[in-house]
Amino acid sequence: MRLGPFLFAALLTGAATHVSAAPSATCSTRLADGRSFLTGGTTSAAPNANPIAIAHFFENDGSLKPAAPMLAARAAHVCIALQDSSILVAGGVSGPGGPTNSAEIYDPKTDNGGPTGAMLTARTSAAAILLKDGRVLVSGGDYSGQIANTLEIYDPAENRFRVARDVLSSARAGHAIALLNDGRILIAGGTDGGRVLNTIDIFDPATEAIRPAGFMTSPRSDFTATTLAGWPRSLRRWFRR
Amino acid sequence: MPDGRVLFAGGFDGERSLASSELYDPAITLSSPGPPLSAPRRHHTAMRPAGVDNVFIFGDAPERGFSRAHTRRTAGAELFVPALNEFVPAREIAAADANGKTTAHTEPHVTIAALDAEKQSARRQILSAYPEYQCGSRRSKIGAYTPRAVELKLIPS
Repeated sequence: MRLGPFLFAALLTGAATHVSAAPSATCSTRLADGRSFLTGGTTSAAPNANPIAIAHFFENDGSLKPAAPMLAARAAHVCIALQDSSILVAGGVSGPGGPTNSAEIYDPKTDNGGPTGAMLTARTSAAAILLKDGRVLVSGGDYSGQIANTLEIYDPAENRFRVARDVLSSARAGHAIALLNDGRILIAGGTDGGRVLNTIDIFDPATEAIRPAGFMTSPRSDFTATTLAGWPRSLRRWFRR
Repeated sequence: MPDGRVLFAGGFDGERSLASSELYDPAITLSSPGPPLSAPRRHHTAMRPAGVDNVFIFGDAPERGFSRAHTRRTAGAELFVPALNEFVPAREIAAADANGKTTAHTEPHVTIAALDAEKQSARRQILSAYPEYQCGSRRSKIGAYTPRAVELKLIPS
């Protein structure tokens, strides 16, 4: 079994787990049963070189179990476990042709995948997140050397992507994305291709509007943003008194 | 009562990798400096398992520059403990991870896969008892927090 060609920590997301990482060659997403599902990556240390289509389950006992390969080789793509437990995989570098806008849906129950509606823009190193209403937001990324400021929303009920109403305040790649406790989405930092950004946007899924929401104290790219769970237990007890 | 703040950790500022963190409050759209990480980290992973307050951070920690080929990675993992407002060290992740290969995780315990592209092999570890990595049960026990609750177990490939 060929296990090797995964590179770097990947974007991991899950309904109950708050995970963030810089988008990278391999993509990993957490399933509802606690396992992870790993897709694609590259066969060499060079970023985005020789993308592959293989996929694995990372079982709860730590073992790796092969899954049906993706329809296309992908690196630096996005992958998200949907609310019905199927997995959306989209974009990334697919071969010598560079970025792809193709997308596919994999069903871990049947170990089968199939195509779904493509993104409107071919993106690599985008950041994606599952919205509370079950849709998926894909933000920014790199398309053939240009950094994108656009957002796309995938609706599983329609099996297609469409462009969101608003755009980011800046083009962003290498940015961080996080689900806030109220269901809005924080999108921060990254690079616009020329400079590293300290700006923060908040996306409202209900209106699809982007609102500039302040600044980080330092410009940051390739970083993590993690929403905290609650007040420290000692403070929670203090407030209950 | 939800916290709702967002922890920004590490990254790259255009010149160097960062060991700094910030705590952002979306209610007032204000970010404030947070405690330092143990080392600069970029392209790392941060995760908070369900039902756990702490944020587990592991993965790459390059020295500087954009080029991954000239970066140095460290094997250390650390936890952000909101109750202490501190990053605290966890024991080392697999050596394969230190060489810059991929990581993934499963729950309920945090299981980490470090896949070695050169050796075509996988080393897997379980960060067990992670949910116990919390503060004590009484206000006065905030200092009784016990790093020994974190333990890494190597699973044979």
